[in-house]
Amino acid sequence: MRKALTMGACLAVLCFFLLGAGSLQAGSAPGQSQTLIAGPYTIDVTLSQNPPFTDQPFEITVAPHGSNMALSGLVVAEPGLGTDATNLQTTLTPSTTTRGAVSGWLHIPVRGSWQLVFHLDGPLGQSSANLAVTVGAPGAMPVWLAWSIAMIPLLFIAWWVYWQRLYRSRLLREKEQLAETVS
Amino acid sequence: MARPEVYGIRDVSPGVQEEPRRDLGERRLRRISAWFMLFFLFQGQLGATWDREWHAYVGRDWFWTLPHILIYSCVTGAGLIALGVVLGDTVRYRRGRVGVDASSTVPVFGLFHAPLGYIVTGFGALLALIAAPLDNYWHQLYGIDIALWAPFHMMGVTGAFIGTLGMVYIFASEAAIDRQQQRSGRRFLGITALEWGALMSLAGLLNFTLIGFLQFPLVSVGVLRIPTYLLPAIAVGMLCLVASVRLVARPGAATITLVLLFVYTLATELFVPWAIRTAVELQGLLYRIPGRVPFFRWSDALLPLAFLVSALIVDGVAWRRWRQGKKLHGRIGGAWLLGLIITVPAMIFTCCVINWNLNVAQSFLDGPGSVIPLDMKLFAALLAVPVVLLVGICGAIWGADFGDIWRLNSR
Repeated sequence: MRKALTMGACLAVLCFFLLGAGSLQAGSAPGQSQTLIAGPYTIDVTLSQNPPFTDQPFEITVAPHGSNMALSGLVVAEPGLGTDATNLQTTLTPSTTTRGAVSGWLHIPVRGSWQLVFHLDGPLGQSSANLAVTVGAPGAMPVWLAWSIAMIPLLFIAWWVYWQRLYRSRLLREKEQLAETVS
Repeated sequence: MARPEVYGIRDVSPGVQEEPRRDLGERRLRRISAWFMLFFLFQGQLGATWDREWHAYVGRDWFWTLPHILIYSCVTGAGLIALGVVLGDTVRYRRGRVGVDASSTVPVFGLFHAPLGYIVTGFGALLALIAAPLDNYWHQLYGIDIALWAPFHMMGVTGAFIGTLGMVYIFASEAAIDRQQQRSGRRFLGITALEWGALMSLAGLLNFTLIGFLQFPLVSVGVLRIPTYLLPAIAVGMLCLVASVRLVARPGAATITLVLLFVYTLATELFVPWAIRTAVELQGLLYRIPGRVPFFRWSDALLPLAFLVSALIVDGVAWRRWRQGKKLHGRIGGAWLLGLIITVPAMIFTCCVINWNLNVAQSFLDGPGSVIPLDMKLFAALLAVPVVLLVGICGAIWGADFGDIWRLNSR
């Protein structure tokens, strides 16, 4: 029983640190503004978390640089080379915190390189701009350790099948004894 | 006719006035919990299929996708029920309540006393819950397409498999208690409600295997790539078919399990493509391949056909024994031979159904337009067939063992 409790406690601690590491790193970086050229528009892009962190929602704010042009559009997050994921998108809506700006929220599920593509619409027509970001993730666990943890239940199944064979013999014996008693 | 089973002084006679139960509270607790858990099983399996298709058509955009919510709410629900019954029965055992004794519970760690099925199901749910954040972590590191053969996917799948197996124990032990107390209850097709629950759980186990088996890896032998989906499909298929007949001790049980499986696959196939289309539309998501939209496919709904001939053979053998008045469970020799016989049609038909479903023949080719010589195909067959037959034999032997346990175990 002590062994089982120790093993359970180790797994719980491991899960806690894996999840905890993500939130600690995610909260570490403040937003930083970058200026991009999107055709006729010059825009200031601010990410509420830079670099973004996997599965942590972050806000993208787009403000026209040195003008009051009303912009709309959407942001598409495209996985870069070597990042196994699909495109994600968010619609830009008027920001509640920055006057004249538009914003949207994204949560990116996989670490690695991503391109944020801004599709903008305004009085000067449609245009787009790209911003490369590298999404962070918790530190990688060694593959051998991951498989070792994941295989623990298979050991249980192997033991279970063996124990059930013995249990079946016991049940059949009990039934035969009962039959003899009745007859 | 078959010999009546020996359980006590008088035979089970439908229609005879039964004495009121002294253990009514305990029976109600376990049985109501069991039917709720069966509902969660259906929900989880629907979520699992939906998740598989979501990966294929939409992509895993974050952890809290609709199919994941369906899966993990089911795991949580089933886990909490199992925990509740284990703790409740431990207290009731210590208080000496009627129906909670050594004959209907097993001790765990010297601390808990609970029905075996609830312990097994609870353990499975716990494993699946532990695997969830670890699996999400693995996806964050390595992407959305790591599929089944990632460590924590395997851990979650193993947990779900153990949980479903536990469900069979729960229903079967209650049915065994009824038999021991000589309570016949209402029957449909000669099978009690609790036995129907056990067969539904077995069909769920087989359905769970079908959900995942297309994700199994390909073994590369030179330029050949041999799919390994047959191994889990045959092992669990043979286990479920043989166990069905032994559990219920009636011919026809294997085919009934297959019909229940067909109801699952048909309902799932009716629901999942529609659910994906609706969710994509409502959430404003993009399909992974523009224009590739899911739709109802008979080839998915009819997957259980792969086991039809095997089920009929199992039932045919059982029916012959039944007519001769021989028992259908217990010490019966030749489980391995039955396994060998029923694996042959299952192997052939599984390949045909899967070929229709996915055109797996393409996966034997190294690339588009490659030509594999006949001698190499024969080599692949010689390599694969004995392994599949062996796995089928093992599945049938395990089916016989577990079927007997489910028939007799009241703990």
